Amino acid sequence: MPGVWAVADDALLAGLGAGDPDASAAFVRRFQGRVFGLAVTMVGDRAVADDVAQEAFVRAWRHAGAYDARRGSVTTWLLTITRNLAVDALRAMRSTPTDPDVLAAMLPPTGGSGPDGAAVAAEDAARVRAALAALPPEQRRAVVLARFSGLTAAEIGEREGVPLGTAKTRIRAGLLRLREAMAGDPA
Amino acid sequence: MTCEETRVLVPEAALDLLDGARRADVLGHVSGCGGCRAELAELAVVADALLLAAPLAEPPAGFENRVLARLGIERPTGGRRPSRRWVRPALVAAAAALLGLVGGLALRGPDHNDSGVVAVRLVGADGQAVGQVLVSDHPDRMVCVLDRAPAGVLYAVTVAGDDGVADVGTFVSEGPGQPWATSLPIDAVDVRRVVIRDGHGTIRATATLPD
Repeated sequence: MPGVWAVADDALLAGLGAGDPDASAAFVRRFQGRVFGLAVTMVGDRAVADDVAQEAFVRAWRHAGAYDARRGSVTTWLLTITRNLAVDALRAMRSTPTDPDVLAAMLPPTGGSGPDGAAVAAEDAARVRAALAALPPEQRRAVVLARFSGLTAAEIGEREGVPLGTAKTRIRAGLLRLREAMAGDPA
Repeated sequence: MTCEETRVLVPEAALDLLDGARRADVLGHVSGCGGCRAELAELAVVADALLLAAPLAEPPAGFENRVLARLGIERPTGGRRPSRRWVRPALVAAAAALLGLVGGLALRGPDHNDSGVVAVRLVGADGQAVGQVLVSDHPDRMVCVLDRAPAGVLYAVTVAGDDGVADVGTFVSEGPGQPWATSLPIDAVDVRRVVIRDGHGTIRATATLPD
């Protein structure tokens, strides 16, 4: 299928769901760096991340028909699948969550747009990275633990040694600051 | 739920932190409340953007092939790697040697390769691929490969067919990805399932063969 690399993300996803060999291969190549990158960032183990990333593509294939472009991009849909699988893996491993300061430091301040050419997504990512770095440390830790380690507000409170209400407040305040930053000029 | 109660939970809903019941409560409220729905949508965009902030990383070699194999999709012709399905050429060659294969063997099922070996993925208790089994029906032999088996660990292998279960034997792993070859106690064409247990009797991997 000449030109398959120029095909839109949602068209490739439809091809994946239909079992088209060219579209499926192109879909995996387009997103594998992003999917594996998120998985290994979250679980910290390449072998486990390999399993998580593979399963993410299997789930995408299985549920391709349920994708709704009105609710978000293919990239974020696929990364949400990956994130949820990584959280399941972390819970199965019963491992101590990576220190959120270390996790935050793993999020590069620039770059990472990848071969998918998702320019808008890359801009969003750059903005949110900069905003994350600018958050008060306790808010950044709460947001990172919630999003990348899958900890609930109660678990964050326990880990950070603060009451549940404080943990909730930190999560909320952090997200609202990030929202404000993303609504502003690109970093 | 009131708007006040909902908005306390909206950040956690956006981050996928709520259990099913509380998430249902939030979604039930926002379905009829434009203000809370907008707040949830905006914070969900932030949550999505956080995932985009993760760095890119190249997966291990063969990742694309393994994914396509799990989907049952043949690699497109002209692809970068000409190997079939999820069986690595080097492994096929080694397995063929271990099996003592000769040309002209019968083929069976969708996952056969050119040398006539039926190749089936081994999966762990969590459904993840952990290795593969190759079976030949002439002679009746099999090869087990566990991708991450530590060296020195004892495993016991059984096969199940329509007439029951048969012990194949035990082996001590020589390390990750190292093949173990043996004769089958029943006709290969009758094997429907392969089960690998560790020394404690816990099932570590299973494989289901195509009819």
